[in-house]
Amino acid sequence: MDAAAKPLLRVRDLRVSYGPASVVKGVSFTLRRGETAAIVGESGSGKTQTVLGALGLLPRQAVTTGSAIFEDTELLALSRRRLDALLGRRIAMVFQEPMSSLDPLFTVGAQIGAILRLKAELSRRAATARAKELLDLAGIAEPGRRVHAYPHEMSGGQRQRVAIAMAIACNPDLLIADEPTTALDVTVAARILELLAKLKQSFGMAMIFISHDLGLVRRIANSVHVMREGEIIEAGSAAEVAANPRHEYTRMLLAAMPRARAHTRTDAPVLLRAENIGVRFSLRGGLLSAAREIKAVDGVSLCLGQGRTLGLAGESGSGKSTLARALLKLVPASGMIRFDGRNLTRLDRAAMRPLRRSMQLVFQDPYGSLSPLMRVDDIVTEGLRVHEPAMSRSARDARAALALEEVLLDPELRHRFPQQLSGGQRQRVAIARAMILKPRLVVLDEPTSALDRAVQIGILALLEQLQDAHGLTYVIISHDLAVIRAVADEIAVMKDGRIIEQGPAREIVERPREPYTRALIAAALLAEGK
Amino acid sequence: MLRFFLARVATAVPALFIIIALAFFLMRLAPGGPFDTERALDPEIAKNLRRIYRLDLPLMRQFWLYLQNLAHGDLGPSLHWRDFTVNELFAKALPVSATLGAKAMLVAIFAGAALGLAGAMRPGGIGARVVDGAAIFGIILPVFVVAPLLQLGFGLTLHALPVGGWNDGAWQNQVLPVTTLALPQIAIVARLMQAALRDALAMPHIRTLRAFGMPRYHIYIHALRAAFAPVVSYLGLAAANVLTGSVVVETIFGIPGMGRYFVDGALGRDYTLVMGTVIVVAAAVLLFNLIVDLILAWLDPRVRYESRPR
Repeated sequence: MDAAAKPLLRVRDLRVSYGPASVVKGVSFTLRRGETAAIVGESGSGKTQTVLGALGLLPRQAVTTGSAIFEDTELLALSRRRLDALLGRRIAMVFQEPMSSLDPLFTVGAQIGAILRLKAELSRRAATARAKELLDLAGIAEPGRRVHAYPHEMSGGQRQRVAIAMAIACNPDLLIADEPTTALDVTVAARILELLAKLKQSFGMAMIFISHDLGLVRRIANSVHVMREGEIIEAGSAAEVAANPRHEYTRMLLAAMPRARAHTRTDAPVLLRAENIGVRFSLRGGLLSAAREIKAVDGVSLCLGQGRTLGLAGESGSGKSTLARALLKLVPASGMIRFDGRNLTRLDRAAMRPLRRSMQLVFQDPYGSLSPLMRVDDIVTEGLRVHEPAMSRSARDARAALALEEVLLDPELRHRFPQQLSGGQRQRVAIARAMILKPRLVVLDEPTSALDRAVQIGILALLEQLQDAHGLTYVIISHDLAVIRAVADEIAVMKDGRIIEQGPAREIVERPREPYTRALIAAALLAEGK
Repeated sequence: MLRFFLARVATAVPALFIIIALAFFLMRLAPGGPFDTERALDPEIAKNLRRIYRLDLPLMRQFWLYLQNLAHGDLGPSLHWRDFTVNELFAKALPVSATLGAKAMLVAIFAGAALGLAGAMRPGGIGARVVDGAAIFGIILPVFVVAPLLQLGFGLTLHALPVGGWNDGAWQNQVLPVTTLALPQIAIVARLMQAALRDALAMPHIRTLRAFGMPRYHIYIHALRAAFAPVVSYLGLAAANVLTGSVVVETIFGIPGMGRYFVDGALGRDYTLVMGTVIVVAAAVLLFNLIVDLILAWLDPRVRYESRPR
């Protein structure tokens, strides 16, 4: 067997357990030099645990057994010292959260430099010079200046580039990328993916790519391993698995793409009309610098009919969430807003309050938007206590049960706390909280972005069902055009606070005029794997 | 950083002014006066005394005069120890209290941080258990219980250390008061440090360092820097606690520091002395908080960033 064909990493019957709970149940796979293996599965399937277990990076309580042979070395038998000598130098990792995987208290140059000094034994001066080269390789503009930046001064995509620069610092043989693009905007994610592919080529690295998105990995991986509940249920070459999935779960993952909305309603009476909406945040100047204004939303006009859905597409920072808050009068804005024939522009907080029940909001993060100190029934009925204070306790409880049933949750869950529910269940609770007041307009701010694809589809179907049943009007905000396409009648694409393109959903997706819209569509379809 | 510093100073000055004004007027609201004795003074003498100390002027005018003198660094004459000015009294007492307080703070910081580090390195280990146990005792046992116990143990039983007195700051005389003053702070700092370091060690960027196989000391440097923020934030409060604690400790150990002026001045309605102690203590607390803010800003670039006015 020649050296090129010899496996770089052989994992055999790897098991990870925490006490009686086993999270990885006998995983085996082989990775050759220069190849990319993808481990695919939804959250909780054990894909990250497998890799961290093989590298001895799990907390003390975790017990890892089996075998993971890197070249000729059994990783599980190595002392911490010998393992540390491999890590960073021969095997490097890129993590999912670029926000938190870098130390906020050190400049990025210092963090890359530390690896070069301690792992590649470069001098301080050589490390700084090499750090700049690495930032340049990772596609950071002006590396000479950015090397002195702190992580909080960079965007998510730039931070991930820094993390990649750290990973390739010692020219590793194996790069492990754990959901490296999941936390990023779609167009940014596409560029990071290109970068990884390019670096893998030029450095001759092998790569383990962990992802929940089968459509994404099949474009870049040689082999695909589908994991569920701690086991690999299907493995094979990427083309084979994609073209001919044997396991039902794999087929589900492949099909897990929200379908385009089939029917749209037309000529509905206007429910919401906004004209020339502007939101400014002022950055007050200091002693020497003049005050600056940021136009988060700049002269946006839109009109939405009863029972219709408007999709606001755009990347983070484009002003779509600010616009939605302005429409609900949750941030001060200039311009005119009419809701159900009433001019809201001059209404103050007290005058808005009775109207609030008809205008509800669902947030992105189902982990942060529900109070961990309140039970589900209290969360769901909180709005009722404001808007229908006369309602009795038992009547409220009945309403809570009904509301949970409506979002297809077991009503018994109302006695639990949010942290005892899964992400999808939590988002259903957040929707129930909005629906219990029987609103007419619901603004959904990235309602599915924090969820797995399969769960996403369930939530989107639920939203559509609720809309049909109650004639609801939606404003749905997402960076993911695939999600928007699934539910929206009309799409407005936002960039830098302005709507750059607006029209019927089908038209925007099939015949986009703006290059930016085309980029968003390309990114969404890339994630889809078409 | 300069702008950050100036902004913090700009908020400290009005705070000090408000404290001075509050103390001045509250003190005058309290019933009684500096020249009240068991036997009523001759009205003529009382009137003269009041005139000499300018207590007969309208209150606002007195306040204005006081502020003018204060601007020249003059805290005025003591109304009780009539041969001394407040400045003269403080010139003797302040160095004693400052020595005591500074040493107690240093001991608290180093001993507390060391204990906390030991506790965090091995969760559930002996170090952690010592920290938890000692911390509980340090926090629940009040100074006036700890001090006599130490006096009994080290002073009367072992004859190792003097039970009281200052003796011009001989180190033997400092050990027990400094220990007494530092103990509760050691306990709190140790617990804070342990908790903050445990949280820091669980942070994703520490996991990144582990995944790169970085050496243990390097990982701890990063974790410690993240853990220092809550500990350093507490130190401003700790300084205030040490200052108030010193009133009790100085009394128990018979130390000629600022503490007694606090109590005696307030009881004797010695307006200028009380004002003097309030200003010194307030200035010390404000100064310490300013230092804490500067250290925090130096530790964490995001504080500098966020503190910029928007």
